[in-house]
Formats: sequence, C-alpha cells, structure tokens
Amino acid sequence: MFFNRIFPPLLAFIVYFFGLEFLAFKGIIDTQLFPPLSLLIQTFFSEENTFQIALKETFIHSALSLVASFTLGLSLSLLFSLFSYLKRMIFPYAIFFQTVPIIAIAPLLVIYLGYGTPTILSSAIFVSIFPIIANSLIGLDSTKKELLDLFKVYDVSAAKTLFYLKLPAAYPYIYAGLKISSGLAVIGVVAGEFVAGSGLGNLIDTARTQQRIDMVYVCLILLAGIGLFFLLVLRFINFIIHLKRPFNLDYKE
Amino acid sequence: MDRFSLINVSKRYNQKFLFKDLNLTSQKGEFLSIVGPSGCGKSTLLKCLAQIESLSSGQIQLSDPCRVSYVFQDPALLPWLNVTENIKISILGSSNLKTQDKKIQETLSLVKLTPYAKSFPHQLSGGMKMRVSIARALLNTPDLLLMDEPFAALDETIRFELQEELLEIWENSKNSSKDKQRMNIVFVTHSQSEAVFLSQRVLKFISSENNPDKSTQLEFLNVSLPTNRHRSLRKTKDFLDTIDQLADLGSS
Repeated sequence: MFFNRIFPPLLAFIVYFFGLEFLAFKGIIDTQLFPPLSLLIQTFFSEENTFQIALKETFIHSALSLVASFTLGLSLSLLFSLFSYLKRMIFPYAIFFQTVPIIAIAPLLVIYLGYGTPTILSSAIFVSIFPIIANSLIGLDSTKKELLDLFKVYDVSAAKTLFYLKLPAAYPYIYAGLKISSGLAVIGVVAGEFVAGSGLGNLIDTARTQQRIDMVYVCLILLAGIGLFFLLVLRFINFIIHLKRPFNLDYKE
Repeated sequence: MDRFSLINVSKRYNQKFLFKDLNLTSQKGEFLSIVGPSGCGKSTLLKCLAQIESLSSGQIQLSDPCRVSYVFQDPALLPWLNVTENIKISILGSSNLKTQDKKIQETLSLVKLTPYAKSFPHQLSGGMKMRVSIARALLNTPDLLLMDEPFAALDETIRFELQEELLEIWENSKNSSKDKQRMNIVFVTHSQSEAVFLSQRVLKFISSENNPDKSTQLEFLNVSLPTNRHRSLRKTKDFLDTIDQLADLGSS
C-alpha cells in the first residue's frame, strides 16, 4: 500500500518542493515569482485570519453547490428517464449551456443576482450540474436488457422499475459524475467569487492586483485542499455504501 | 383445456424469418421442452410467449388467468439485493407485497435457500444463484413457467440435482393452484437428454436455413416414460431409446 500508492506521489512532492527550496536558497530563482514552501507557510501564518475566513466561505459555497447540483441533477435525470419527451425538450439546451464558459456568464449572474452568495452558488451549480445529469442519464439508460425484461415479465410499473432497478444500477455512473462535479463545483465557486467578491476567489483577485504571488499560491493550495477533501469524503461514503449494498463489485478505486 | 395456443406465429428480423407460421397448443399442466439448433428461434419464441418480444405476425392465446414467470439462462439477479429481496421482484407488481412473508419463507425452503436468505448474489455459487432465480419465478405462483436453458451453465452434478427438484416442484404445483392443475412449464434446452428426462412432450425445431421462406418445421415427440423420474432413469433402455427417437426426428 505505502510503496505502491503513497510513496510515488510523496516522492514527487519532496523532489518539487525541496528542489524549489534549494533553487531559492542558491538564489537561482526569484522567490517573489516562485515562492518556495517555507515562504508559503510563513505567508499563511502571517495572514492566518484572512485565509481562514476566505477558506471557510469558499468551502461552504462549494459544499452547498455540490449538494444542490447532486440533488437537482439527479432529480432532473430521474424525471428525464421517466418522461423521455421532457428529456428531448431540455437536454439539448443543457449540452449547449455546458459549452458556454462560466467565466463569460458570471458577469450576467451578478447583474441578475447581485454580489454575494446567490451568484456564487448559481455559478458553481451551473458548472457542476452537467456531469451529474449526463452520467446519471447514461447510467439510467444502461441497465441490462435482461433485467429490464425481467421487470417487464412481472408487470412492474415504470416508477418501481426506476426505483428498484435503474437507479441502483446507475449508482457507479452517478458516483463517477459526483466525483467530477466535486472538482468542478470548486472551480465554479472561484469563478463566481472573482466577480461576486468573497472567499478565496476574491482573495486571489486582490492578491493579484497587489503582486502578492505567495498569497495566490497559498490560495491555490487551499483550493486544492477543498477539492481533495470532497474526494475523500465521497470515497468514504462510497466505501460505507458498499459495505451495506454491493452496487458495483468490479469497481476499484 | 389449453394453457396457451400459438396460431400462425412468425418472427422476422430484417426480412429474414426466424420462425414462420408456427402452430402449437399446450394443454394445462403440461411440461413441454423445446429443442433445436442454435439460432433457430427457441429463445425468441419463449420471449414472445412472455410478451417481452413482439410477434411479426400471428397470435398467442393464453388461458385466463395466466400468470407467467420467466427463468433466464443467466440467473439475472440484482447484485445489490439479497436473496429474499431478489426473489420479491416477481411480486413487485402485485399490490399485497407485505402480506407475502409466509409465502417467501415457503418458497425459500422449497429451493433449499433458507440459510442464505440474507446473502448477496456474489456470495453464492452458480447453482445457488440459479435456485434464487427459480425461487423468484415460483414466488409469483405461475400458471406458465418459461425457462430458457436455465441449467446450461451448471456442472453436471448440480444440473441433475436441479432437474429432479424441478420435476418435484412441478408435480407439487397442483397443490398450490386453485384448479388443482400443475403449472405449465416450457423449457428450452440444447440437451436432448435433458428434454427427455424432464418433459411429457418435446418440440423439435427443424432447421429451416436451406429454405428460409418456407414455414418452420416442427416435430413432436411424446415422452412415454414413468412420471416419477429419478436419476436412475438415465441408465434405462427406454430412456436411451427415447433420446435416439428424438435425435432421429426430422432427419429423414
């Protein structure tokens, strides 16, 4: 476990940060442009309060938008699966909006929703809902024909077939979509925070105008931390669910 | 009284007939096996009977009422449901789902699955999975049980064991039916000896590959072996002779 999975990334981490530290120590690189880890730690503790407030805001925004995307995305997929007419009506627009970059839409959101949380959440949901809808729909549509036939033989209603067969069979797809969305939610939140002003997104923007590259780096590490935390939480939930219900035995993380 | 009749039924895929103008009637309580070469449409015919495939033409008449159950070649179990939950699928469509606990226990014990009621499919052997699949079909108290090569993937010992159990279940099914009739079983198989061992009548599809536009040729064989069948029957001359008769059917 340690040598196979933990050691290789740890080695890359050590080489990169200690290498940077060494180059900075030797004066080969400008620490203002490429701040080494020791400087980043210093920066974090010197402005601890600012970072903590921003981190808390971004974390709450990301978590809320991920939960909202999951609930809304899955509900829409279930509706689409039950009513294919609705799917044909709306799904093409979902694909169309997916191709529009969020950073181009964010200013519009500010106009409609003003500065603050509503804009940030909308921006994040806008970005992170699509993988959940797309993956859930693929999952709901990829139930084995034999199992669908089985439900048909026993005259099981469409709603019960959805609940007892299609939804559980789609679990691995939904989980995969959720993992993609957990990263996208953070991206959407930062894009929203750039224009609607709060959290780490706003802090990056401010640091940029002050040429505080070290602060930008700290923010980036904290953002990566949020994404990583979400992934770990999802893995844990998946592990617990698998202990209770073997949804997909072939799936290995 | 007939359980079902097929009247001039045909199934066509891309202009090519899988079977054409089939006529067949099965009396109530009959155990009918269907044998024939691969791809001749045995399984499709079974699916048409279960109404999960549509006919290209013709008509299927089922007795009223006729509750249908289906056993696939693959056990077709839901991996996230335990044995009890899996067998309940066949009664999901019925309204009194909660009042059936006693019947579920009886069905589990009938197929010797009581100790595994809470096990998940991945914890069971191939033979056990097939028992679950059969239990699921039986819980529905079918009038017509359709079985599509259910024992094909099992080893011989388990296959013989399940064949005997199936005959026993079929024999006892008259006790649980309202009209004291056994359920009808239509059993698709590749194995001629399996067909002879299990059934009262064997239906043989004769390959129509050389004459694709002509109607499908069917041959019947009435199996006049004792009704109470055990594995010792396989060694008897009568049994072997019947298999020979079946093999010769349609070859002349």
